[in-house]
Amino acid sequence: MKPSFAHILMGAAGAMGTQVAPRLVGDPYAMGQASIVGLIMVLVAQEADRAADTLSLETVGMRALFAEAAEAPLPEGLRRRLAAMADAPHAANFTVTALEATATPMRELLIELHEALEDRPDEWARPLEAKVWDILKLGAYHRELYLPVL
Amino acid sequence: MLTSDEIERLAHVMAGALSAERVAIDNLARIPGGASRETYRFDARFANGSGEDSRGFILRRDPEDSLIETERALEYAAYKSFYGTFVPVPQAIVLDAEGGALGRPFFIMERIDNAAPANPFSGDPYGPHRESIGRDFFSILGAIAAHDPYDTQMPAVVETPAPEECWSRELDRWEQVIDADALEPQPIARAAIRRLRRNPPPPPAKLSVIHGDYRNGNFLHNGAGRIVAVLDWEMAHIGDPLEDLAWALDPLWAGDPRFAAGLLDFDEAIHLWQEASGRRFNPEAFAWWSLFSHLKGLAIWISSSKAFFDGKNPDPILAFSGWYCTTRHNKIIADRLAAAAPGALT
Repeated sequence: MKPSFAHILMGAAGAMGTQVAPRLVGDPYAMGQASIVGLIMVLVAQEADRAADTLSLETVGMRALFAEAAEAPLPEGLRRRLAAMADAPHAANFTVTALEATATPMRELLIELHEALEDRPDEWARPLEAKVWDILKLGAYHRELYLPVL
Repeated sequence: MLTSDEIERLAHVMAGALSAERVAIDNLARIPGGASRETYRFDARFANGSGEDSRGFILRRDPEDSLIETERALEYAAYKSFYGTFVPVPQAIVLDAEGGALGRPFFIMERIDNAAPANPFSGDPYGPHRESIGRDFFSILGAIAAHDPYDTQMPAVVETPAPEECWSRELDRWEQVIDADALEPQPIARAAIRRLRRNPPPPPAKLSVIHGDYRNGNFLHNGAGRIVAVLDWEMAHIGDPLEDLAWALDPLWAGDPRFAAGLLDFDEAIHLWQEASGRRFNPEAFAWWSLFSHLKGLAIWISSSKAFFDGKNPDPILAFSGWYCTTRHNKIIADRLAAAAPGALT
């Protein structure tokens, strides 16, 4: 699609910041609200194109980690659920909503796995724990947002 | 915006507060002031013995969905406690914790004119006054820590924890916020909570009043390098003064990460705080409170998202902070804990 979502939103944010907000000088609350709406447009412009990609990368990473952890000497019930989640059905489509629905139970299981690994003093648990952090950092870095300096 | 009836009732409230027979409300306007309260500025015009006088005030009213009257009383008590001390605060005039006059709880304080908060989106909010503002910032924070909480109104409105409970009470409080308000699983916040519980800090030597949100953006400066008012005391409580210092130094508030709070060289900042507070900076304890600050931030942003998502408060600042600030604090915590030794804070 051209112009892209990002182009459209950045254009709209620019109009909000340079055309709308300055006309609201006599109403500081409205001016502040218009400025925040413009900033939100800047954030959406950054996220729109990459949101599905970030979710896909996360779920791929979690599936691989769950498959590996299912082989580790963790409690039997947890191992079974890790194995099942590693093979869970994929999202029905590539909308962010569908990808989120797939990722949510995976994140819940990731929290449980993370805690179980932290509780284990064994050396084998440390590389798996590091892989949990790799996934968490991947999500955090891919979702990083930048604000315009005013 | 206030209705004409509410403006009339406000005039009546002000007449009582100013001991005037009649007060007229002029120049009433809503202003930005955080999403948790409706904030208005107005002038109260009234007759005095020698003629007519006009004074500026700020009205802070709870939003429609708010059920936090205790926080209103708490914020009012904090302003009352520090008025006239080295910690500059506006004079609090009226508290209506029941909301009888304006439909919802509110309080009124004097307006500080010819002063402004920093623009949080500016790359250089203080220009040539950065260091001067920074010296005020850390000295005032130290003065808050030095103030004996038993000489304030705070113990009447908040529970006073035992020193060894400071950390767990705050961690419990914000974990409960995350439990109640998270719209999705929070693996980074949960990891931080576990890490904090496994590494409790030492208790403070003495309890202090904690501002609870002492940071860039929550004070007014006069444009000439001086802080003239510390605002937004709604999260004030009694606890370990390192909590405030860690929150003030959270990277989220530092426009320029080379400086403490974006203001001063770190060593000078800590020196000023120690000098003003009479407290010793303990790096190990600070590491705990610093990680806690990131988590507390996350809890606030998670709560903001929930309020916006539920439609209880449609203010777009909640959507902005619930999104942007969550991504920042998630990354800050992930970077820190992933790099730390297993189970350690740093």
